[in-house]
Amino acid sequence: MRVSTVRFGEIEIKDSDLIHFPGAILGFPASKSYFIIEAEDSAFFAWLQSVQEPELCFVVTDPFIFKKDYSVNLTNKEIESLSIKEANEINILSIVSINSRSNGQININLMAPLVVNATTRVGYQLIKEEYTHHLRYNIKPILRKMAEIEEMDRKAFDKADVQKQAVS
Amino acid sequence: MLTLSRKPGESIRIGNDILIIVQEVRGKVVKISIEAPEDMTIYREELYKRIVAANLESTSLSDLADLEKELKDLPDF
Repeated sequence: MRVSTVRFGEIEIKDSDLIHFPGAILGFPASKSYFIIEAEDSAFFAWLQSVQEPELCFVVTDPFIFKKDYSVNLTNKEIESLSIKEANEINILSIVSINSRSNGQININLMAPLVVNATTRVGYQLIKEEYTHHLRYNIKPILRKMAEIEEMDRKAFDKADVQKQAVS
Repeated sequence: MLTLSRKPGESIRIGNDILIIVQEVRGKVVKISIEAPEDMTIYREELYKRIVAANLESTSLSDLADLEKELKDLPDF
């Protein structure tokens, strides 16, 4: 099927690419299906584009990259409505936002994760009250640190490379 | 908006399958029970509003452009 989007223009997608949100993403009742577009220049972020609303697009990420001890406890009712049979069917995404009022903080929403059954491709935005204080969890310091480590690795690698050349 | 007065133990039905029961009134606090279909989500309004506000922050195109810029400003992203 062809989908028109504001950000990416017309895109051809397969029905099997769709993720359905019967309960919608809160505040966006008109959009019930979305699909993922991998971000070209980032390993951590992807776009979640609405099928029904061309202008509606979220940035999503894997929350476990940024908060190692994060966990989403599903109630029996949630497991049932997601028709989850195996734990490895569960896919969890966090919506990323940038808060222009707070100095370019990059936040992920740990309180209302998108929980998707990877087999049925049905998902819900669930509210986890134990993460009330992490509705906007700032990941910018972590991103900086990751970038620094990578930079250090690269420098170490370059240095090793130079030494090797010097030896030969 | 429809406004109804109810006493504890009385209830309100919405459509065929939603039942709202006033259980108890104590001072300023009203205890309410809700019977609704499984697929119907029920939230406390203030919680719902907070999530919607956070979701909204993630969607405006100008903010996304800001996010892209922020990510590019980080070395190697």
